[in-house]
Amino acid sequence: MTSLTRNPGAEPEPALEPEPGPERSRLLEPAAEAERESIDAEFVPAGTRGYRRVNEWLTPAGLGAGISRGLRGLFGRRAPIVDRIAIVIVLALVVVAIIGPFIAPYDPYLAQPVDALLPPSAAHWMGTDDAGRDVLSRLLTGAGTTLLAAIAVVVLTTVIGVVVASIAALSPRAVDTVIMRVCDIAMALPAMVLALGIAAALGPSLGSVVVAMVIAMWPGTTRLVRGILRVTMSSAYVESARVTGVSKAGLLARHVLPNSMDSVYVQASMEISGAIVLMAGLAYLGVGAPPPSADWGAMVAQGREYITTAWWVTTFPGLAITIAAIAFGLLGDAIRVRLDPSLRRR
Amino acid sequence: MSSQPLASRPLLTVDGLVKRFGSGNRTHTAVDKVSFELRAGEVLGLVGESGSGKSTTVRCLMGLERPDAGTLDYDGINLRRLTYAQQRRFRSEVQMVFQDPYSSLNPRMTIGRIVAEPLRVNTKLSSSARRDRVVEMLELVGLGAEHLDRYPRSFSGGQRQRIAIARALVSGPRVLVCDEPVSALDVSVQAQVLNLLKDMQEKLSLSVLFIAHDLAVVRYLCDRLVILQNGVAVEQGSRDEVYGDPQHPYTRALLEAVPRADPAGERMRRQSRLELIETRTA
Repeated sequence: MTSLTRNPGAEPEPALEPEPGPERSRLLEPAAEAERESIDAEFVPAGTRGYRRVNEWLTPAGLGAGISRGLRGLFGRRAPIVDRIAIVIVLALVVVAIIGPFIAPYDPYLAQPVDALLPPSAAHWMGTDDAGRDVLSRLLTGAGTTLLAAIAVVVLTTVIGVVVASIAALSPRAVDTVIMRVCDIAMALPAMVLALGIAAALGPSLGSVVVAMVIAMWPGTTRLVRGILRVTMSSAYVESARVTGVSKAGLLARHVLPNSMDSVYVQASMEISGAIVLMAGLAYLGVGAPPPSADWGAMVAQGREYITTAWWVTTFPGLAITIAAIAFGLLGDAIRVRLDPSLRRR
Repeated sequence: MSSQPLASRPLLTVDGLVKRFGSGNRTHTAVDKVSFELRAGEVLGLVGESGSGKSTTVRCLMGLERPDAGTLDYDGINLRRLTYAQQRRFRSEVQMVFQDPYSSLNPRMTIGRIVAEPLRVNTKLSSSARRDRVVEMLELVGLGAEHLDRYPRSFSGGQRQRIAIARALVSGPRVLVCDEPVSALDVSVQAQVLNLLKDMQEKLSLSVLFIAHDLAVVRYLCDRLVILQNGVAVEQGSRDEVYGDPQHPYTRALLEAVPRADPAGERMRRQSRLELIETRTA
């Protein structure tokens, strides 16, 4: 059934225990290597191997394990149809983002005023814009930057959120309070306004939009991660480790963070769709990748003047943004249902 | 000190402990001037119904709650003002077993790592020495070395509580604090775990502070008892005193609630209890 329950006596789940691969082994000193092998050769690594392992949940392997545990079952027979549709759309979007520029039927940047504002037809499935550029080709070309930038924003805010929330958790109460008040102040400004101002000040480029969005979004993420860490910290196993004499840093590294990362991943996957919409909004308002580039939000803005006469220029990029945002939102929700301990079936 | 007999030396002293929750007008005094001492080598039972403040008392003692008043002393160390070195000593010498074995083991750690953690934190043993000690400890609580690489979810409640006991005892503590260690377990498993605790206490000459809401469980284990009601210690004394000649009405009520292995007597008792209730309500 779910991947999270097991029969007693079964072997440890491989996903949870990424074995140190040959690459990592090579990095160990020969003596350590020999010791490790002798331990592995025996029945038990007995609470020793684990300590030598780099904290598994921060490595790409650990991240991959968390995500794969979330995704497993999405393909299973019992997965709800909505989840399946969401994952199919997300996969399709990822594929388009990668191969889009290569399958685009026309040059997305070549202006041909003769073909301006042609309605959808067999030659131009989504019509052409005011400069005579093929809308479909521009959509396909823009998918990569739009999705990549949104994911980059979420990854960066999540990393910052986890680091800052961990610092807050390790610090005395006063420092924790200061950090959280700073977050409150930053959150008092609407993310859109804050990001708009910063992006405008940094100049028109995709990089400045990403930086602006990270600055606008990290306080919210930090607060959420801090909440997740606090919930984990109040659990009985953390208390029992505390009573044993484990230091604050040890508690965080070995007990709190590993048991919080599932919720953090869920949070991050939910934030992707918000990032897509925010970024499209910024591009619509004119900050973002400079004009000729095929950004979805910028494409919507560009067709605004012709919305009564040439609906296709705004409609298709708008649909693309909507579908991408909904699909990532549904995917995040599906992952949440599978990973969130409070929703998990026993 | 050393001239005194071992059993009479107080190891843990709680004096006038007060803990309130809430603020302003809505404070609730969970523990109200509770005093007792745990002597070296004895098993002290802390008994009361739920809400009587027994868990809060122990949480204050273990540094999981901050007490509002009173003194807490472990072997000359003031637990309310610990230096770093004192903190380390206290943490390595006083260990605890929690009530719920389903939530007190980190689900992301193997049994080997869980049981080795106190050694890792409180001793300077090499990793192979730690492993040997963990295996030895697991065998002592009746679990084989083959379990070391498994996760807590593969174990039953009773097994988990054995693991928790192994973790608490692995670094050789002097004092073991048990917060209702069997109340979350099936009755059939309770006896096994209690036997194990008694065994360990005798084998390792531990001092044990044992919390329970059930006098039947306590009678089997404890040398002395402290009875708590609504945060107040209403009675304390040796096991024979408390069971043989309970002074406080609450203690008598608690004793009355213990079922007897005598169906006929039990029926009569139940009848008299019912009559008592009827006369009271009439």
